[in-house]
Amino acid sequence: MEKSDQQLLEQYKDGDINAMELLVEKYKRPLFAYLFKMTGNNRYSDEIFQETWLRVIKNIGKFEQQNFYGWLVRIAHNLLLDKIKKKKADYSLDADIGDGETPWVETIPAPDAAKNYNLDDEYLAERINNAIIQLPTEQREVFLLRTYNDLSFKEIAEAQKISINTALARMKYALEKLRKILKDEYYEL
Amino acid sequence: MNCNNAQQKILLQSSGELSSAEYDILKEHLGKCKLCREFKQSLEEISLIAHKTMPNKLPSAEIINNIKQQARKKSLRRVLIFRKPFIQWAVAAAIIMIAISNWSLVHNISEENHSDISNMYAILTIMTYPSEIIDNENSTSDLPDMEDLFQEFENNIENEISPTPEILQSLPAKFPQSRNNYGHPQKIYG
Repeated sequence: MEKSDQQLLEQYKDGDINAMELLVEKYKRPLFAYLFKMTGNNRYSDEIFQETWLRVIKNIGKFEQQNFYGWLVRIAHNLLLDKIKKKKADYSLDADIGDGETPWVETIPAPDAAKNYNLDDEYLAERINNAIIQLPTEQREVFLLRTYNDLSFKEIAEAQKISINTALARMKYALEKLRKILKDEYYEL
Repeated sequence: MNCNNAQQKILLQSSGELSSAEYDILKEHLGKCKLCREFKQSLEEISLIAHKTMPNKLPSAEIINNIKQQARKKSLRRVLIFRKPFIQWAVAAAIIMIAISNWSLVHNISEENHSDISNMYAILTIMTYPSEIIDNENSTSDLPDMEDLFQEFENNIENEISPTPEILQSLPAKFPQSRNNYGHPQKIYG
């Protein structure tokens, strides 16, 4: 039977190194996918991914919440914000995020960001990836945390330090934009 | 329920955050609102496709190795710190066990063994005393009752052995002044 995150964390605290390795293996794909889609860049994704786990390891004694992955994503989100602030020169300002809130710094995905998919219909996959990348950063992040990482809206709100209503609004706008972008390719949407 | 509310509830339902009572109200709205039904269908389809097209990329092997290495280092450090008192007590317990097992031979112990018993006493004392008390000779904190422990030794050896007066004299100097007045050497061995 697969052990819960809480059990693995307790095992690691008791000295079982394999428990932490299992957690890294368990979450490496969704976490990296989220980072990759947010930065559009392998190197940045690698850096933030590593720093996220190092912080987890360093602060494991302080972790007292129920949802380990929510905590992991919150750390990654904060590091992502730091990275964006530091690398402002590589980004452009997003003037319109559609929900009436203050514009945020938008990432410019690397050219290869949309070329990694795992679907038979490569063309559709590419279109979807491109559509996701076109979303404003805040909306994209909520969309990715919900669809890739299966976080609840409450967890997303906690990770982003926003209200649950804001998280819901961002998801709604993201869906509307994706529908619009994909309309021509996927008519039933 | 208006459409804006309904669409928020649709999102919450997709993440399992909608109560059954709220879901009943939502169902009622969906029954009569085509726009919200389409929104729900879009959410399901786009989420499914997006999930399927999640990048199949992974962090580099070097990054994963770095993380695992750090996890090992940190874990080792934590275990050492966490178990240090345990190791101390385990050693103390082992010494006691050895001492007890040797007591069957105690009747044959001669005067030459006095220093061994005294050393054992010293080790036990040091192992069981909080280091901050040992280090601070002026401490007036309550100390573990070594008198009882030593009394037990005394009973078991049936007064047939005694540490050398020199060693016994040297021991109290390591401890707070108040312990020097216990009178063990005089009482037991005097």
